[in-house]
Amino acid sequence: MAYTRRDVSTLTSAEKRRFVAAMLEIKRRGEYDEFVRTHIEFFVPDGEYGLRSAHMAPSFLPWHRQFLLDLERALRRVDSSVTVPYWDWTRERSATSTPWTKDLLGGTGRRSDHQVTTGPFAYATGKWKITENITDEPYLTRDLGRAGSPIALPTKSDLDGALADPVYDISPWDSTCRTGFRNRLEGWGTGRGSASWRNHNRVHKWVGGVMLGGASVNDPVFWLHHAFVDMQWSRWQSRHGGARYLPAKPPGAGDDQEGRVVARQERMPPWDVTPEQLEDVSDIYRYG
Amino acid sequence: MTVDGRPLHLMRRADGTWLSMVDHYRSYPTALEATRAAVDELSPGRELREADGPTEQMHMGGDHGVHA
Repeated sequence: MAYTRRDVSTLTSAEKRRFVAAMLEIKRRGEYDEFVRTHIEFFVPDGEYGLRSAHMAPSFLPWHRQFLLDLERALRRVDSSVTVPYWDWTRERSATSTPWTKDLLGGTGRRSDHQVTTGPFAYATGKWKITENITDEPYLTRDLGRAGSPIALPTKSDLDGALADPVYDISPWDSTCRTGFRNRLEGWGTGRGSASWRNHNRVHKWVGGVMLGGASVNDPVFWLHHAFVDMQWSRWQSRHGGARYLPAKPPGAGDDQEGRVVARQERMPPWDVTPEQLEDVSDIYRYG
Repeated sequence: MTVDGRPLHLMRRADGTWLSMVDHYRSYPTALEATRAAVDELSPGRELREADGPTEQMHMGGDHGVHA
């Protein structure tokens, strides 16, 4: 039977405790850092050669869907009652409320070095030492809202702008697409400054610290954020009558994107799974 | 680019802009701006993780030396 991913603001104290305990346990076992390494390894931007499966590509959504499923399976091996909650950043917009409380993810980092010092993932607990990172901090860092130069989380209207686009993605299937649901949601904009990062990307920027970089998975909020992003794909499908993943076929010979994006029925590295197999996961989980 | 003698991995976007592994969810018009943005994210006393031999450094403000 399908399990339910819940809005993080509706979890009971016991449910929060169990989620945190399962996260700390897979960290202790060394399973968690494998997820961090995979995410770093699969960041291939579109100005470089090679297949892009995780970012700046149509498979941004199925790639992170499978990534979440793998994490969730690891958590459920520890505690079968646990699912990944989602953080609706269009509603929970404060740096001090859900999910940034001491009984869940802890709060923003301290001013001097952005080190997170509250909650179960604070360094002093001894249970969340960061070993896979771009910089040499062994502790979790955050700068919620970017205190020094504030930015706002994306709004419901920003998200609706993405959901309203009836086409999943469009050539050249990269970060330069100005239309298409996928990049409107992933959030690669043009130009400079605050308007140039949107929706998904903008949330990474708002959280700051380790969430800003290739090792963003080190912050547990990565999963709550991506569960909400993943939910938007399902909402978009419902809104547009079951609209499909694109491209349906691989870009052909002579197309600059040949061999660089994953088509609907192609294998999506590092898994032996296709975007098509991930378009409908209602037999595995649903959003509550 | 190096920061405090350690290499900063810079990457290109299809539109010709640049991003780094430190600041990964947006891009900058030049490699230097992407490096400056990465330096801004480094707390005082922290370094990039990949070890490399020491190189000449150019002072770019703050506590970090950047070398192009």
